[in-house]
Amino acid sequence: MSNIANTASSQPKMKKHMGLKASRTVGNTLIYILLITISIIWLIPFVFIVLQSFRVESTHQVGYVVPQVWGFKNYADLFSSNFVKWYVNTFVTALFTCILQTLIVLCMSYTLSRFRFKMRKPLMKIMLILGLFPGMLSMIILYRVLKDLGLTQANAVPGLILVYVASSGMGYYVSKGFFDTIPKSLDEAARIDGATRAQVLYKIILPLSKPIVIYTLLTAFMGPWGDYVFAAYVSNNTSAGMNVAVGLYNWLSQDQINKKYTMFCAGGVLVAVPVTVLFMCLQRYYVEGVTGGAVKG
Amino acid sequence: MTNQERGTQAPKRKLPLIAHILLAQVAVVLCCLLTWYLCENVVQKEYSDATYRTEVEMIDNNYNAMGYLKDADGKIAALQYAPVSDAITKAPLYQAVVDEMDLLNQHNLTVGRLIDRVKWGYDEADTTGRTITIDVSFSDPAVAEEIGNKLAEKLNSILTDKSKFPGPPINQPNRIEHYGLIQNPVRTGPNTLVWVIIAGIIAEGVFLTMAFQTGWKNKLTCIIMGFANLSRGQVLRGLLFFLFEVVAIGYMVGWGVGWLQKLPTLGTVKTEHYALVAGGQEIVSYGDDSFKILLYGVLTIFFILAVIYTYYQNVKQGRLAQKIEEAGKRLKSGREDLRSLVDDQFHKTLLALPVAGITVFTIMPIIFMVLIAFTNYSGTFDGKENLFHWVGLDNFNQLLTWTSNGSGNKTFMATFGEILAWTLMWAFFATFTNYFLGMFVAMAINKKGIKGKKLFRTILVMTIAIPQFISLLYVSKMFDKNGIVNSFLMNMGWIERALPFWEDATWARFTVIIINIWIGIPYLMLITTGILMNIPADLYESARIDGANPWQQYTRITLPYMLFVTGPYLLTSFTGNMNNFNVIYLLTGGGPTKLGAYSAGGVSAGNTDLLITWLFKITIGGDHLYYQASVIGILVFLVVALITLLVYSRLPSNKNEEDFQ
Repeated sequence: MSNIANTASSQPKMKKHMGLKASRTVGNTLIYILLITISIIWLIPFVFIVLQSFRVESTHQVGYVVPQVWGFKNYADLFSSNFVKWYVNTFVTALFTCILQTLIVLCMSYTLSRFRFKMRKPLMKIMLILGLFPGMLSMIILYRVLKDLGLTQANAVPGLILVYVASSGMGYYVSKGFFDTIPKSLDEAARIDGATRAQVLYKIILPLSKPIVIYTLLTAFMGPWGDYVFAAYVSNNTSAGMNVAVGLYNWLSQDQINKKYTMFCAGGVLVAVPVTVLFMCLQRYYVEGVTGGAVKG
Repeated sequence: MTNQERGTQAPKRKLPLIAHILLAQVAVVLCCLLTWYLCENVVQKEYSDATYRTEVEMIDNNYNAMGYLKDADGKIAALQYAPVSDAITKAPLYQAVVDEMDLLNQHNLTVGRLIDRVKWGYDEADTTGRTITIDVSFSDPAVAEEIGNKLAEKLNSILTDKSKFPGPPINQPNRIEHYGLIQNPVRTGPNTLVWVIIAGIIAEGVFLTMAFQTGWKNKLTCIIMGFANLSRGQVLRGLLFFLFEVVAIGYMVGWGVGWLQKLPTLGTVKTEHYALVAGGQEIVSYGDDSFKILLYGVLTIFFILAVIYTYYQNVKQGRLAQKIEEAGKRLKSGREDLRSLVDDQFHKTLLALPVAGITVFTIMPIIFMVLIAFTNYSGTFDGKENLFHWVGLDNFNQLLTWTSNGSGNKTFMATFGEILAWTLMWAFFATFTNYFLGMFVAMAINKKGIKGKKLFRTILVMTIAIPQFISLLYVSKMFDKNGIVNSFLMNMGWIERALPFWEDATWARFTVIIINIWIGIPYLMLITTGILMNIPADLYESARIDGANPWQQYTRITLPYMLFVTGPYLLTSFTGNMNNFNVIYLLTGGGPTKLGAYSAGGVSAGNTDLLITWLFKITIGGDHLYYQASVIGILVFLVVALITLLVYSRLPSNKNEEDFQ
């Protein structure tokens, strides 16, 4: 093949190159059109939701998107509704969950990545099997246990934190994958220099683990904002114990949707904006985590 | 114990091992005898109650009329249409009890406790005369007789007092008959034989372990946990073992034994409600709670396993200390023990909390829910008002025969099969459409010469950040009958009537898959971008030189590489999609309703229901058929485990995890 290319005159080669370039331009134009279409499709619902949150003339679902009368009434209404309570609930849950869950996940993944002990493989196998059980079922008993502890309904927040954090050790895969890539020779060198295993963790590994720590914090923080089913179960129709997902979901029920639809949109915007801004700032770490995690399974 | 160890320790025994074992047996027999003696003579004997019976026969068959019970002020006590059992028996009885406050004080009883002691019954089939049986039970026959007599008297005066209890003309006076003591107390206390056997088993374990130990310190540690460590100066370890022993004995005596005793029956004492009288408070006498019994019973079994393990560790540590002492080395001090927790034993410190959390909040509930499948726990048999109990394999035997109690006419299994088929179909499409389209988008963005890569990527990534419940709920409303999509299409004149996105089974299934693509592509784009970049560029270079067109490059290089690397991800994503509750529940809620499908407790399965959403519906639906949900859960686990097992072992990328290190 390379021989033929060498012996061929420069003229046809040039032509072929031009043709390639032309087809590449056509191809690229098609790809641009495609990507732009995709971007629009992906953004449309979010643009719509923002637009509708400013609609003042009616509160129910309508067939048009751009409001006829613009205003902040929906947002103002939110502040006089239970939404504030739900928002605080969710924020507190997310804050505590993200700190405690990160601690637990890092403990678990670091240990499974770095130490070799008798129970290591069995432990990982057990967790793999546990992951195959539908978690939905555990809700019934967890609800009863939380109820006995007095952590349901209006006191749902500590209950939710407890449950989110307690079982979070199962999600160690991504960060274990990360720790696996830090060379063990680093630990060994530090151990030879007399560092304890805990010192190895604090002084050597943690400073190198900023990406995975941020990734874990970020995902743990975002989790509670979207959890509907367990939060609904634990708050059990008590408004004071709901999180934003449960509260806003109820606003779309048959008997409320006509009064609350635009407020739902406004609430959605207020929930999505801070989370999205935070996410975009830390996007780099998220991307690293997701990519790394998928490869190592 | 290895031969070598035995060899080194044998000379120190004054008696041969067999003598130690025989001595242990003597100790066991002594323990059993002691237990027998305690049970028979020292432990307070418990007796079943003496029962004093009175029968009241009321000659009136018009029992609606019986409801004219008036209180002291002459107001009708609003019991007119109450069930006859409440109207006739409970209300007057309650009144009688309240009137006898002196009686209560005399015997240190509260109203609730007294009512708990008084049982009444009446014969459903008896429509002519109303015969009410009142049984008063106390362990002291004299008290039973006294209270029984007074209540009967009181009841008699209420029922025959025309001013209090007018009713329609009664032809004959009501008759009251005293049966007196109908049942003498029977010894029920602790069953001596059972306790002797339990004591024997524990003693056998302890003394046999003791027989194999050498040295008095190690022998004593078999009874007083931690003694071997304590006596050698390892205070911290010793104290921890000892404390554990105290806690273990305390828990077992205080609670554990009680829960274990009730575990086989899941409770026998029903909760009783006593009728309202004239605006008075309802009195409830709480009985057993099957749910708690099952929960704490399982916890106690876990606890016993932990005790056995700790006991084993205790003996092991004792031997270890002994060995080190014999070798003339220094034992670890408490400070060194603590230090090793951040050093050699650091993994134990790190794992303690996560593993404890998983045990209590993941493993326990799973074991519990598996056990539920062998009971009849449901909304009706909720464990409080109606105790639930073990049903063995009944739920599994009935899988094929369960039919609807609602409008549906299909059997459980037929509907289960349909939902399973859709679940698998959904998981397949949801996984692979996302996978290939996501990869395609990633490749498009990565293509040479495309500008604004970062912008396109950012737009897609941004959609990940928005909590799913917002995007899914909003999109679900967009495709509503009156939603924006339908309005837009109608305004443009492209359709006449609204498209049935959520109302028609096929449309709904199609729509959820499409919307799931919208949800999933950004993730897949992110994941595949990284991997695509890792494919060595010279592979493509040589392929191009060999004249491979882009399609061939894709199928021969890109795809095999991607499948190799992302094999495990595809598997977890497939099983994850099978249990993808959020997308289905928030988009369709499982609807539209499946016609003629099996329905449990008024909740019928929908066409887009996955097994997991169906299970959820059954759980929260009217009848709360927890046992059916549990059976479905177990079946889901089996299906998912089977798929995982079959696929996982065949994955080419099932590589050695040590490769990277």
